[in-house]
Amino acid sequence: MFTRGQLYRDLSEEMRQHLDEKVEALVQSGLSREEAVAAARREFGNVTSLEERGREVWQWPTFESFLFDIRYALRQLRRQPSFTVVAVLILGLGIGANTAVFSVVDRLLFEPLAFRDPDRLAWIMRMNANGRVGRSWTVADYENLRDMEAFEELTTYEAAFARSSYKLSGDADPDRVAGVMVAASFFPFLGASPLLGRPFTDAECRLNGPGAVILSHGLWQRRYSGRSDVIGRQLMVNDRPATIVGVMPPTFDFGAVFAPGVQIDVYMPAVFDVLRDWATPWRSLRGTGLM
Amino acid sequence: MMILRTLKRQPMHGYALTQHIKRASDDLLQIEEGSLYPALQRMLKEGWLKAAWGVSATNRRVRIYSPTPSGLKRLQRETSSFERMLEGIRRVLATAEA
Repeated sequence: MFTRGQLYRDLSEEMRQHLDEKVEALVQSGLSREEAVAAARREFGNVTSLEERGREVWQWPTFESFLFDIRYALRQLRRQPSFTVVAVLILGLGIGANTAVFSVVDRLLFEPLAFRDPDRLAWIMRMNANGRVGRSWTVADYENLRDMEAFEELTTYEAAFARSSYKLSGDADPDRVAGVMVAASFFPFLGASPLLGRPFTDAECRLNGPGAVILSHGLWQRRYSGRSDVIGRQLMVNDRPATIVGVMPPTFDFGAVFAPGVQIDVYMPAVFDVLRDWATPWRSLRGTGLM
Repeated sequence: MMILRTLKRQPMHGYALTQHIKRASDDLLQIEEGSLYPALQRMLKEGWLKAAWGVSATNRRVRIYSPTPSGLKRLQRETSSFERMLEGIRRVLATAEA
C-alpha cells in the first residue's frame, strides 16, 4: 500500500499536470500564455484548498485535527511566554493547594487508624440530658462500663487535657509541655508499644503510687537528645517526682488521632481516685472501646 | 456517478475526464474543474477506482483512473436509484400539469 506521503505527492503532481495541460490547450486555442494561465486557474479553482480537501480524504479527521489543535496551542503558548507563565503558575498553585488539602484531609479522615484492629475500635459516646452527644464520662461511669463487660476492652484518657500543661524540671532546663493522662490500658489497648521502656503499670495509676511519665518521641529527642539511658531517670513533673518509664515511637502521634493540632509530649498515668473527685460537674474521661 | 460511468467506458486521467463531462453535457454542467480531484481521492479511498501512472495522448505523465468491480457495482446501484428518483419526479410533474 502506498504511504500517505506518496498519495499526497501523486495528488499534487496530477493537479499540476492538469493545469499544465489546460494552459497548453488554451494557448493553442489562441490565448496568450498569461491569459491562459489566469483562465486555467480560474476554471480550476483554488488549488491549495482543493489539494487540502484531497488530502483530507486520507486523514482520520477527529484524531488528527485534535493533534493539530494541540500543536497549534503549543505554538501559541510559545509565542506569548508571559501568558503561558501566568497560566502555568495559576494551575500549579491550584493543583498544589488541592493536593495539600487533600493529603491533610486524607490523613485525618480517610486513613485507617494506625492502631491494632482499627475497625473494632469505637468511641463511647452518650446522649446528654439536653439531647447533645457527649464523649466525656465520669470515673464511675467508666468503671461501670468496664464491669458491664459490654466491650472486650476499654480504655480512657483524661478529657480536659487540652487545658493542662506540665512543668518539667529537676534534671534539665525547666520546660512546659502539653500532656495527657491516660489509663494504664491505653497503650496496650491501641497496640502502641513504647519504643523504649514500658507502658504504665496499675500501681502507677493508683493514688499515691510511684510517679511515672512516658515521653513522646519528639520530647525525647529535644530534651534528652535521644539518649537511650533515659529510662529510669528521675525528674520533677509539676513539682512532683516522677520516673521516666517509657518513650513512645515517632509513629505514635496522640494529637493526630485524638486532638488535631495539639502536640502531646508527655503521658501521665490517669489516677482514677484523683479524677473521681473531678467528676462533677465535668466528666473527666473519654472512653474508647474495643468491641 | 458520472465519473464512474465515464471511466467505465474509457479509463482516463483527470483533465480528460473534465473535458469529457463538459463536452458530453454540452456545457450544461459547469463544474469547478479542480473539485474533481478530491472526489477522485475519495473514490480511490472507498475502493471504487484504481489509479495507475501512464502516458497520455499528449505524451504527458498522467494518472489514469479505472473503475474496480466494487466501483462498477456502486455505479449500478447509483444509476438505478437515480433513475427511480427521476421517474418519480417526472410522474409528479406530469400529474401536476394534467
